[in-house]
Amino acid sequence: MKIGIQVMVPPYTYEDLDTAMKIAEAALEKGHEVTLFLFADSVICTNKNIKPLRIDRNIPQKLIEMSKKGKFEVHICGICMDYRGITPNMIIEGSKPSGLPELANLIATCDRFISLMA
Amino acid sequence: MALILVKYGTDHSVEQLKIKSAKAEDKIVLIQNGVYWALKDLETPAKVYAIKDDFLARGYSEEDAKVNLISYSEFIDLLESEEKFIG
Repeated sequence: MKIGIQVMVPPYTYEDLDTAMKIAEAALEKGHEVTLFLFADSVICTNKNIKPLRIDRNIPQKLIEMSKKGKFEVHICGICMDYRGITPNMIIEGSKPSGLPELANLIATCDRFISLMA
Repeated sequence: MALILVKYGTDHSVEQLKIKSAKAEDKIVLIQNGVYWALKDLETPAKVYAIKDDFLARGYSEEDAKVNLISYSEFIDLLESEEKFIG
């Protein structure tokens, strides 16, 4: 099964990215394919310069580890990146700039689409 | 048949509407602050579940829940079983 998950709120301030990653991990364990589409402020979580306190969860690092295992893709809205000054050289390994046509394609082709929009 | 996701607390009007309009064949999953609904007697014919991790993270124990507590793995099973998803 192909699952699409969309998030729009920033990491650490809201819980949506944590929820998305937990859902994605559970789905990957069951052999499903997951695409995480980051929209608006959620794109901040792909900045590889993020350095959380050691006791806290490292969301960018977690996304890198998940994408290395395969069947997991992170798509980032390119326009949202531009608005937030995030350039392609700043984003984590395993993620890629994307856009609304790709989002439309994801919605059309995935078996389940989870929207964690506000 | 639809899987309805509720992530905001009991004072959220949209979540109130989602729960109120759920039908008997639907399933409601409470996540994040939506787990506060699990403390109430919900007036809905739909089956209601809450994410166990999110419920316990808010200081409650399993006995406090008035709905079924599920893991993320069980959530994926529900996701597979329902064709429609309302987030």
